[in-house]
Amino acid sequence: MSESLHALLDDPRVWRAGRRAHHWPTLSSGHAELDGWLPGGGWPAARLTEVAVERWGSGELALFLPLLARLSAGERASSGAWITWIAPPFLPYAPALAAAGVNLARMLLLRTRDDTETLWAAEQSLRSGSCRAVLAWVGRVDGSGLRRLQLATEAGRAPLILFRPPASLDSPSPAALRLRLEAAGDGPRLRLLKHPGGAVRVLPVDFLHGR
Amino acid sequence: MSRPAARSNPASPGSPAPLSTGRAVTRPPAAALWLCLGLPRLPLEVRGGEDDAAPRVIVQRAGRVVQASLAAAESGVSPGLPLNAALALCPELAALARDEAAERAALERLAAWAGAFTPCVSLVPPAALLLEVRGSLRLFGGLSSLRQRLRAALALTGHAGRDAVAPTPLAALWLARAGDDEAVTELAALAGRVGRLRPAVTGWPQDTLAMLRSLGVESLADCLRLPRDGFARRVGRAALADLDRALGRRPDPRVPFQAPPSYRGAVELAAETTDTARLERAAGGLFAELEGFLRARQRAVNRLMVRLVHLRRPPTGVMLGLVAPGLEAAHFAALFAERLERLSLPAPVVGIELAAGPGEPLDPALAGLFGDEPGGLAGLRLVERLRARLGRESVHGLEVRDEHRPEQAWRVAEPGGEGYAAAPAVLPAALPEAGWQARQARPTWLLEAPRPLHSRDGRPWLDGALALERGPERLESGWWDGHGIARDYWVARTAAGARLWIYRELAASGQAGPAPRWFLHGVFG
Repeated sequence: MSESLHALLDDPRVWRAGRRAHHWPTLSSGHAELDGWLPGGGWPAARLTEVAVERWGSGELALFLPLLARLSAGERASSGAWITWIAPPFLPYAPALAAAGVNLARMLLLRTRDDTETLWAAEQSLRSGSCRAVLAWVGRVDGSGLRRLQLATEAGRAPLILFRPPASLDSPSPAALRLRLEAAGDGPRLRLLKHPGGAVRVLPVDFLHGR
Repeated sequence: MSRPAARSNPASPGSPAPLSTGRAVTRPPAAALWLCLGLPRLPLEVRGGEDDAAPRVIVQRAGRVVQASLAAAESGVSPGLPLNAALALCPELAALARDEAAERAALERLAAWAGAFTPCVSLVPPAALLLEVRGSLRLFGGLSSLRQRLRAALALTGHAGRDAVAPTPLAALWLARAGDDEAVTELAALAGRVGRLRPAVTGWPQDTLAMLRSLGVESLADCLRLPRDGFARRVGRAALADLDRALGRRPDPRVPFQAPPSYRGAVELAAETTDTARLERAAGGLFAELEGFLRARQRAVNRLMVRLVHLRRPPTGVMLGLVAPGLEAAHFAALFAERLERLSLPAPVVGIELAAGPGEPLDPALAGLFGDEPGGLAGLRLVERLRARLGRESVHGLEVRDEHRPEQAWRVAEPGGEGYAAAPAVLPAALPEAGWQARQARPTWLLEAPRPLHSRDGRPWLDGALALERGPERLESGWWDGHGIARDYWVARTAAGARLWIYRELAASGQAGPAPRWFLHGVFG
């Protein structure tokens, strides 16, 4: 299939016969406004979600903290079910995670030397079946790399949240969900770039800091 | 121990008086049930197997084909053929000498491996094992489930097998040779099932089989119809005794195999290679054997030595170290693959050897059955794999410390480590009333080190003036250990709407220093 056809089919405005509004299980984000807005009522449970963050500090982690708290809760230290962070841009700050209810004993932080290692580690983590969720920060990924990750989420039955540079959203992706977290003077907002159902939509996410 | 199921058969009063093993004990033992695992391809397997689909045969000293690879068989080469005739059929045929010592070693390794299914395994050289499985049925959830697991586990060792089940060891062996895998579990049904077999499955000498043919005997049922004394006289007492053993009319004690204390395995490759997939496959068979060996003994190891054997050159050693003692073949294989990927081989590999120490007793939490994934093991395995590639210090956990200085309120920890009991409870509701974590804003991201910010007219600046939203929160601490801080922290917002955690350094009291400096310390991601 040509690249442009890919691009065309990835455009959510193109309606494709036989495609249901959403066809994957979701996990509540823990934010009522967000659940109401996300296709299927939450984050894809075992799929690839891509998030392009224009400016760090827009609530990019706060979006996922209630989910991480829930996924890490009740896990005994010996159960080995990780929340894996791969190549985050800064240190995930333990006191803030703990305050959000995240079980630190389940956090697994990985430092990688390059994107290749990041993608490798993400795939390994997912396919091991021992991760409840994987968050990865990556620069360049090609289409086949994304497809491998998408397959790995299904194999490992866990969500992958892939943080990518905003420019990367121009190329097509097999991700279930593609979002842009946009910086704006009046508060950050989420833009839904790809979802199976319909038009591009925008949600202000000031509620992330509303507490 | 074997429990020969010796029962007198009232229908054959002429049979030798059976040694009644069940009479003396007060509680008769449950009837034995034997699983015979036949390994019909062992001669070829120990010489490299079918890995590269090339036509090859195993040849006995006399120059006759003992076994043909699938590709060779397709050209019409079959066992018993002289090598010359085989070469005429298939000119590109490679002939390998039979290696009976290697077959024996492989059979013994598989006997040790089979110990994972029952404590009672005995050898039937050259190519079969007998497992007494009555006692294992409950553990494995019944006979068919046990057989399924056995077959699945055997497939991982790279050996082809055929299994059959019967109440006597000899009947199980004969059924396995005949490829009859429908289990016989009742002694009463045995004569009928054994009767269907051809006499050749018994392995009796050729002249005995020829004699039977001359008597018009086609099946073992025909044998059983012959008068006993006539059969003993014309065919032989040994053959009659075999029939009695097979039908449970005569005891057939088997000597249990005693495995060595530690595992040592070797496999030859069909052709020398540098192909990592092929090496991984070959080593995978050894890892599977090792897993059975360890499960049988309820032991785990944390060091393995793999040797890649080259021609005319010392072997390349690959030491695999585990974080915690383990026994799973998939785990060993993954570590090996990881190492192999980064290894540059000095020469093609012709064989692989694997050695492990005796190990240590298995942690009961890890002691699942074959095919189970005990909780926690997959998680540890992942950490190991990640560390093998990324480096140990690049894979870690997080821990909170009860400390006011933000840079010291957390620390790196062993993944899932044990230091967590001392850390503050993780749920906000459980934080101590006075705990600052619960009440004060803490950024989700911390910078490795505070970064100085520009300031204009005393106001912090980053892509424009920063709006101070919340603060100040004064943190003064650590003056006693030389790493003291005195800072006023603020939540600040950039013109683009990003929220940052910044602080202003407080001048030492009483000093009128230069204008206070601002630092970026965290990000509210």
